[in-house]
Amino acid sequence: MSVCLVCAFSSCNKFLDRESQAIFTDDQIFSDQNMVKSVLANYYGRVSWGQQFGDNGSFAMLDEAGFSSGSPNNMQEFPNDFWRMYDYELVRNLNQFIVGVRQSTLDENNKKSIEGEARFIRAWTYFNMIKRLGGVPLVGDKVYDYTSGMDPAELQLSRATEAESYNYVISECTEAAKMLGSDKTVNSARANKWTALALKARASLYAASIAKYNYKTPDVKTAGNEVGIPALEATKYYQTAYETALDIINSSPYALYNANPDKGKNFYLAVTSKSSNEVIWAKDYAYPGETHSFTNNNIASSVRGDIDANFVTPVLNLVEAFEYTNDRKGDLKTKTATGDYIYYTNPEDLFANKDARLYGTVIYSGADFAGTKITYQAGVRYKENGAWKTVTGSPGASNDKFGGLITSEDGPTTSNDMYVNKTGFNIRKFIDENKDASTRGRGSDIWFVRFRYAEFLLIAAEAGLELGKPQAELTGYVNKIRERAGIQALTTISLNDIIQERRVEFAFEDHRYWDLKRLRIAHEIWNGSADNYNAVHYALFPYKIYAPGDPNDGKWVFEKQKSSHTLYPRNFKYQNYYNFIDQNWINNNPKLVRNPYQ
Amino acid sequence: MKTFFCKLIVSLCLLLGVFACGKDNYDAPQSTLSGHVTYNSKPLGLRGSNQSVYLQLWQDGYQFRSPINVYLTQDGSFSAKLFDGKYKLVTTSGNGPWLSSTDTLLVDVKGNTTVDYQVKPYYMMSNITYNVQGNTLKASFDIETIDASRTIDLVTLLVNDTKFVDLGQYTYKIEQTGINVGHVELELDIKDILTKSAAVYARVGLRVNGITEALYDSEPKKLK
Repeated sequence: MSVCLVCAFSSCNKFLDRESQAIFTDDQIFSDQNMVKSVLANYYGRVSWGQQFGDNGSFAMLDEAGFSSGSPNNMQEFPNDFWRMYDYELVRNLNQFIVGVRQSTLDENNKKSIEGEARFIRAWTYFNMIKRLGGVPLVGDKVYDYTSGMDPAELQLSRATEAESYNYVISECTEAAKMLGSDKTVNSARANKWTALALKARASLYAASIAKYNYKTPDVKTAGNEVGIPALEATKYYQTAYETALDIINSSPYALYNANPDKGKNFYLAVTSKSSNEVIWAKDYAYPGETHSFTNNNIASSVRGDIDANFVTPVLNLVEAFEYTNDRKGDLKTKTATGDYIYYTNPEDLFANKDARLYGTVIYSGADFAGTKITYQAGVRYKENGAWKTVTGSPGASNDKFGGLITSEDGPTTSNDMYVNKTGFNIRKFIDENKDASTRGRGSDIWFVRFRYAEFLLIAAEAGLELGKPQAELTGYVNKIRERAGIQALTTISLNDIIQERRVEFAFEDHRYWDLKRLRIAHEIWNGSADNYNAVHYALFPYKIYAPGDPNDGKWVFEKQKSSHTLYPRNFKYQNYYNFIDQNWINNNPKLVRNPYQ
Repeated sequence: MKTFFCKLIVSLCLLLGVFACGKDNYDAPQSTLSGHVTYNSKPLGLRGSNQSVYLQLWQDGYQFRSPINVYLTQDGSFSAKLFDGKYKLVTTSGNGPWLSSTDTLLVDVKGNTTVDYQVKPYYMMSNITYNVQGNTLKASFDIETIDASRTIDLVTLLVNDTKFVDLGQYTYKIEQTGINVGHVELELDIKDILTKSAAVYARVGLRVNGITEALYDSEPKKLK
């Protein structure tokens, strides 16, 4: 027996000692430029967090859109680990890579720009951790290794302060910008000088607004300033943000995309088309091989290529946030002052004179998508014995008694059916017009935009405002964006104007959550109150009138109502300003200080 | 010969399988730790829904530490099934509507154990009355300051059609801000809920600035 076991475990020792054919050595990697590039590509593929195509539900978490397909969503509060990330594995990999590149035999120029790219990705990774967790341990360029018998305390670093952490990101971006080239990259997929400066401007703005506004949440800080930045630092950060944003505005090869005379279409293309000259950095996708299912999941029913549709659909709140060309209040006019319906001949008439960006961001009733007109119809209002009544059906149902179609294939309904619209709108931004892209098998190769030119106009305006720059200069930046959107120019701007502008300009681009957080207004806007329009999701239900002989026959009325599929108002608590530090991380590294309210 | 060895190994494995493993599971914990969160030995009314307010139990002596969250119910009570042993009971700063303190309550759980956790709220509500006149619900109470380091954010009167009434679970509510210490009267039209619901419960609450969770009447009042 024992002989048998010994044989089994010791027989083929040569087999076990063979060199792997599948693992490259460092020498093999760092001597070949294409190998280096493919390692770098791996890192670029690992840096999507928060609102992103890999997590379709992330678009339904805020006040932009809600879940539509299937049964209602019953999220009551933002969890303590909401969108949390803590990726020191990636940081270590990048540090190994940086060491490898520095020691490699690649030519010096190439070496420099590759190191710059890696350092930019590392700064982006840190920035994403910092905006969730506050100050984090900064490991620098050192590659930490554990050898058995060593004291693990050497590997356990304590958290830097929030200010130090932002400073690190800012200085790394400054360094990376010096190493990187300034030419545009293919599909804006790789970092260049401007990408590094873009992150520098954004990180500075975040740090500045935290420093300025964290007085509003005096309990959201830690004794060692791991969370919380002293107010004195604000001006310095605003200055950096302002100067960096101006550098991008004035010297970069990017500009506001304005190639299409149709302003609505133009805005859609500015963000969604890869020919846009506005996008500084994006997560690029390519068919075949690297596609995503954002189009498949969220496309409108009547233009879908597969069974899936309407997973996440925009809420009325976002639609109303878009201004009218000559009216800053964007509320849709569905009823008269006396509470009667306003009758519209065509459904799209309700949206006439809205900000053109509404068309580019959201599909509303009567708008077209890829040449098909999309009409939402929740039901029919008809007259019976002189009284108005409403009938609704399942999507596509019709009955001659009510003049034909009752409920459109595109919804909306309040049922729990899968793939059926529940809010009366669909997302247009980032949705592929290529019908094949909405199939499960193919997927879409639309990019996800991370930085684009418009952001830096708004950063220059916001930082300039806080620094007391003249209004004429500030309105200049903002009005460029408003002019492209086809809405009235402003003569003065306030911080609230900028918050509003960012909300509509960058809907679905992973800005809203972080903007409300850094300005410390999230707990006021999403206060969990069922009476608060800002916290509750609303839907828009269009009804067609069927009343032969009545002057309003064939016209449309609209009903604003609470969304049936978002059960609870958004409730952002003080503790949501920073994610909790996971207990496992503390077990592994007792030097980590807990976050507030934890 | 080879088949013999094979059979031997297979049967040995089977024997191992049959005899080797006794059940090595622990028995489920048998002891209950229960009690109230109190101020001056009066239990506090809290939000009992959605695991909002909690205490934490920690136990020393193990390599990895993770807390056991003990969720509080609306009358301020808690209970947890535990193994016998020494635990530390703490509150998380900023979670409940009371002053944060780093005080740790050492609890020796042996069989069923009852322990009250003392806290110091910022304000207390007393002399709470509810009064239905027709379709109007009137509530009044006195606010007593215990620690003025935080100001009052709002006072509220809530009604719901279940026994669970708080700022996350309510049908109708009225809120008043800018309240100082003293006597407070709140009025709410409850015609709808009185006619539509089989049961109606009312409760008053008080929230301080900087803390998400409010302090409530310790017992919702049944109106219907």
